[in-house]
Amino acid sequence: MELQVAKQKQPSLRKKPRLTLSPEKSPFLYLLPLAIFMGIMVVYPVGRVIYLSFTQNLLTRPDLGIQFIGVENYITLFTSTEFWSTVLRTTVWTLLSVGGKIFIGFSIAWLLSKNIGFKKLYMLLLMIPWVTPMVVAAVAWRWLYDGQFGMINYILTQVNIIQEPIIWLGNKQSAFIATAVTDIWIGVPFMAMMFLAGLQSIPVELQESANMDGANELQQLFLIVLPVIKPIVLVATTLSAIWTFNSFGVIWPLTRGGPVDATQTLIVEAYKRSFGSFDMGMGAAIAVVIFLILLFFTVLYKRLLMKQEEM
Amino acid sequence: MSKTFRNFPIHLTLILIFSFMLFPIFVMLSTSLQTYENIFNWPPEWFPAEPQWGNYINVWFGEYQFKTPFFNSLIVATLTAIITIIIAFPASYALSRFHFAGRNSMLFFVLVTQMFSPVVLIVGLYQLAQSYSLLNTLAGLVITNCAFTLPMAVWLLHGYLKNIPVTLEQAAFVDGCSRIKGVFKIVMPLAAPGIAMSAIYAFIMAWNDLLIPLIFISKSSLRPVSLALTDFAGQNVIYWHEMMAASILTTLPIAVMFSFVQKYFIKGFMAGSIKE
Repeated sequence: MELQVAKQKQPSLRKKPRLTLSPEKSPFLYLLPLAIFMGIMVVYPVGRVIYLSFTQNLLTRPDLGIQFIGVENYITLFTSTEFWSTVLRTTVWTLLSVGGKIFIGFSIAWLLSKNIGFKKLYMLLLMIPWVTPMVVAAVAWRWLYDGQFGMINYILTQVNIIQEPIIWLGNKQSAFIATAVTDIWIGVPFMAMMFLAGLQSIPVELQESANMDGANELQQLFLIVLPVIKPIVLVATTLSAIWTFNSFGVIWPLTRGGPVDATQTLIVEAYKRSFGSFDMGMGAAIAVVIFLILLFFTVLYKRLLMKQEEM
Repeated sequence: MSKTFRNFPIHLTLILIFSFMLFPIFVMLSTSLQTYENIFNWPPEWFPAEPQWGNYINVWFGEYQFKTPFFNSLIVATLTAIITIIIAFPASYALSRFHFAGRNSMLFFVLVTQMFSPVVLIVGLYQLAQSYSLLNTLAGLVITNCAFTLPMAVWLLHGYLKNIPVTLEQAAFVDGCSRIKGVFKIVMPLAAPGIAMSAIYAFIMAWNDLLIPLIFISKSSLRPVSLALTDFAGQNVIYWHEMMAASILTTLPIAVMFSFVQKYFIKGFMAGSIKE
């Protein structure tokens, strides 16, 4: 009985929002176009890909149609060694690339945060690779890696690191490294700029007092700089990891996942299954796995952002 | 004098890193100005004695007909940017000004879709486009691009609008101004840099995308720049001097646009958080 009384009282205490469509008071009309668009272009495709992942749907055999087969695609996927080696390859490739971006990006940011001349010039020059479209970067690197006349071969033979030209993109190990190097090259400017923004937020007094206490460069880096910019590093790293994991525009123009499957990441694999061999069910199952991995990283990213705002 | 000397190792390291960062750009420019025969000369002629500016004209009008993909991309990216803003601006306004149930989950949804790999959506989008006869049309590319540019734009714009004080509009409402009028007259001018940043970001995303045209476009007259460049690179004989000229031409519009918004860019990524 008491409970009911309390319930009845509530409306008078808190103003309950009236259901209205008026643009004065309700967000409804402002959100409607976005909601409709996202419903059709995002929610439906996600639902569709989840549904397809439980079916057998070979576009090369239209006579079979779409057959519901339960979790069979997932069982086939998780029991195949090829799938796990693709997962491993994607992980190593992403770690290698993100690691390279952090290392070079941080080096640039740290050096530029010092009191040196030509700072503006360096930052301007850093913009050039940043604005280069991914496909353009991939095509340019393809020319650099050219097995006969590429500039990389020329320079490395000149300084006697290699004796004769290497077909960089035609060899399994070198193609793996080469695609990662290209991806690093594309991602460095973003990293450097993020880190620089973080480094510039460190109070000058903090560094000065460390200087007076006689801390050397390395001590300053590990004891003062890194702890202060840790939140920015985490946010930038998570974002970069997501983008790197998603990378299609680098690998496809460079190697199309080859030679054999040396540079075949999960993204390339999903594309090839759906639009190369037209096995929509299997392609969808891989896409769902990708979806879940990205969901995990997004939740992580959101948490990091929230933590940072609390500070 | 002593400062320059002390900083010498720093500059040396920076120059080393920057040679790695700028080398591909340099080679791209250098190759784009060579004759076809000269490309295969060892040692390479880094600075061509007679720069072949004609390469740019040839790739534009000649065999590659690069003007066609260039204009296709221009149309697709411009329309993508316009539609993105028309849909994203009111939505971001509502998300930053109204408190309603499901607001936070909507913001989280936007964040999640922003991180999606296009591969996750592309099968569903392909089938949608197929059933509405949008394959092999530029309109199909525009609409599909919006599925990826919208979340990013809402995210950036919401972050921007959040920081514009509500008191300015409220003063106008008190004076009897309607909300819609207030949005157009007061909020929009204040948010102009944020709108420009989001529009340019959408333009760049549409310009750079490869996966969607790869799947949607098979007619060569409808290829955007990304697909055209990839296709050329897949041919048996590659005219690298013209390819590099085409690459430079593809980069130019993005470089110009990016220079306008660069300073808002990092801020946008740092500030666009979900929390109030």
